[in-house]
Amino acid sequence: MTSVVTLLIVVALIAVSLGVAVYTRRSARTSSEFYVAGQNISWLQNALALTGDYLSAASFLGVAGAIAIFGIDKTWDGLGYFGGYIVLLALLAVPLRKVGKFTTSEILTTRFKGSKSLRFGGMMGAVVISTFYVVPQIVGAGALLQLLLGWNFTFSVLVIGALVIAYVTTGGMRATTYNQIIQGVVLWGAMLIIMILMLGATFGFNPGDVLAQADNMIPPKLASALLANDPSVPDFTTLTPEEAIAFVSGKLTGQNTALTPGTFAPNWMNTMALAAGLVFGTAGLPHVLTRYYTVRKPKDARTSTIGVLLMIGTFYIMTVFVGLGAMYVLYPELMGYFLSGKSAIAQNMAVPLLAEQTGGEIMLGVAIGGAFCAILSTVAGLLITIGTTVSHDFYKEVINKKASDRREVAVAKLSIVAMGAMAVGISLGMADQNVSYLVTLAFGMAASIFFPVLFMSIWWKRYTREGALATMIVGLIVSVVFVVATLGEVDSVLGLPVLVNPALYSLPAAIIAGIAVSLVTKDVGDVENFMRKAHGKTE
Amino acid sequence: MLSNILNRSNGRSGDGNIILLATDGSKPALTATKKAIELAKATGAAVHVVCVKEDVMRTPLEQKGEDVAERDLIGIHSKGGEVAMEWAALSSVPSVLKVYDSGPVVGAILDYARQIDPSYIVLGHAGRSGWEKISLGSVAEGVMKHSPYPVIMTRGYDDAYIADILELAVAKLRIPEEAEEEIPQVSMEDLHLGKKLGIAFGTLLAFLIPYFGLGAISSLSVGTATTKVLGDANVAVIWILLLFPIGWVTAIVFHRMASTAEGKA
Repeated sequence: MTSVVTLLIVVALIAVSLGVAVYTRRSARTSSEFYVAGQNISWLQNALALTGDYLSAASFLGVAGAIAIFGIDKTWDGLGYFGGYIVLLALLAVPLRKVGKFTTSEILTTRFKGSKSLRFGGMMGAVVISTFYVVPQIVGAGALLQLLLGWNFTFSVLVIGALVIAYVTTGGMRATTYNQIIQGVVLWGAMLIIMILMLGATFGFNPGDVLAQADNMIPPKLASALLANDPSVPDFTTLTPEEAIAFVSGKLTGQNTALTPGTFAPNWMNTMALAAGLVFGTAGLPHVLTRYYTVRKPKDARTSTIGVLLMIGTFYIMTVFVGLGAMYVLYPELMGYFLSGKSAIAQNMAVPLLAEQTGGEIMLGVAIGGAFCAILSTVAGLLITIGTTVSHDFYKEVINKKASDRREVAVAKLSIVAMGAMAVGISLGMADQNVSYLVTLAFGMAASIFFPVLFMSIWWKRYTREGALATMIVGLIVSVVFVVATLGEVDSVLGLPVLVNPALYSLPAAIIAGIAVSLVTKDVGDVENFMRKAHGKTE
Repeated sequence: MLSNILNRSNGRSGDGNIILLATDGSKPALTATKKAIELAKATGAAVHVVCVKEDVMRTPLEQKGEDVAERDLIGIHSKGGEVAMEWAALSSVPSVLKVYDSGPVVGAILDYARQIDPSYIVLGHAGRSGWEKISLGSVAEGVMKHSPYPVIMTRGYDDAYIADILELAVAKLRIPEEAEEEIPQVSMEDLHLGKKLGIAFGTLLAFLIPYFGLGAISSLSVGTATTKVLGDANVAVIWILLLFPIGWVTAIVFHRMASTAEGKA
């Protein structure tokens, strides 16, 4: 249970960020100022909105949190989240903007007109990927409430789930875009402040010193697993970081240090699976694609994406140092949490705990408040994407073509409640998982279900309606089977070893299925007009 | 007093008077439209209609959520201007239409007012309350507060009063909003798909090779990856930190090459 000061800061930060978002939207209607120039939405605003949508609990809590317990092997998460935008930039961003469609269902039915099965496949894919993306956000929020108020995880998850669903279905659909812009700025700034405070308090403002310390530490996740049944293990919480590190290093000589790769993904297959899932996943994430709707011109799609790359790239560089610094500063606490069975806190709470150690109650409040804001805005973005897909792409187009706007919004809200409840249910079983790890699984699915079908639809003239369907079905089935297997700790499926990410199997399988089926079928859809739209000059 | 305002000529004589009508096509705005045109006819003034499209960052569902918040109104919005022009023509009142493609709505209305120096402004009050008013604000109140010109505000609407103009508005609504998009008529060869994909993949590889290269060296040659090269920083750490700037350069080079290619096309 933390102090009243911290709690007040958390509540104030959430209230202010929501308030500013609503105020900004309102003043876009009612401000009496009018300038003829500069009224258009700039690429910078878009870049910030994309950044705010993208930096979720996984990035703010999970990436540095995972580096703090696994060492540099977990920089893959940040690298992959970053690299994914380069793939999106090079292969999809501009064609998507030119076609003017931003959900997979709509893009596919623009080329393959009137295909109900592709619409259905697009909806299923979006629901599965987004639900898996919502789960880690709720797990992160649950762990935060546990830390903030001392509630147990189940109760925390139920409360946060109910709050988030209520927020999105009542007022949360309004001003979401402005909320994302504010989140982008808040999270980036919070990470910078935490890094500066940490470097100043412990490392004499020398990032090199962080690496020097990291080279002497055995990552807590590895160390706690190896020492779990060792009777000589002391009560770590009574030790200083130096004492705790010296004890573990003395006991476990020759083990991987925080700067040794391979602690999380232990061989080339696991490493490549993770790398592929992450770098090709962003381009298939429904809530990322939807956000390009607010980009006005095709050229802005590129400049906005470059803006995002600058923002998130610098953010993930900071997480490398914050994560490794947190491992040093919090070494006794992290070992203590793991050995006493409180892995939910050890897995995800390094950033708030580090903020508290370096900046006291106020910085703890800023870190938790910032994380809550990230979770709220990302979950709102995801649930709205689910709502749009189910209500517009499926209900309105397939089930009831005459549905009014009001009915469409009602269906969207209903689907948001249903998917939110399902995500809460799944979250209850995921307490001990790192939130960034769970998000990497959603990336793996997006890389398999949507990336290949979008890429081939946009670039390959011979791609067929049946080929597109086969790509999505194979990507969906293979990735879901391997995600369930990895979460269920199954060693192999059909003789294939289960890896940390499904993409090494599901991505090639989806591509091969798409190519093979396309080669034996003929319906290439309205390919000429589609290609003209996607690649023609329409500035 | 009222007749002074209604006949306020701003130095112009006779039929030079201008009434500025602001409309978004909603039912309260249709009420204001009808009222403004009645006043113009009675006083021999011309009506200038101003219509402001809201160009704000919204996703489709956000937009629909806001439209549903206005469920008591009729969602013809940008067509409000056309309805007013037709109604004015039917009433034989001279009229001019001005459309702004972006807001702020209040600012744009006042901007146009300053250009035409109207006798007064007429607009409808939507009658929003509670959360809807907090989140969207009131354009009518904003204009009232900031306008240097007299403002006549109609409040709410009476279905019987607007029945005839509403019929006209609904007929407009039935015409599809977006005409069929124009598709550039170029041959498949002129799209240079292969060349564009080549540029995309070529630049992408500049990032993907070192990216997967890090995976390869980390898993297949841990000895090399952990060799110290700069103080305590080993090959893997340096490689990780370099991948970010490599990504930035790749993105910027791609942008420049794609822009040049588009310029030539």
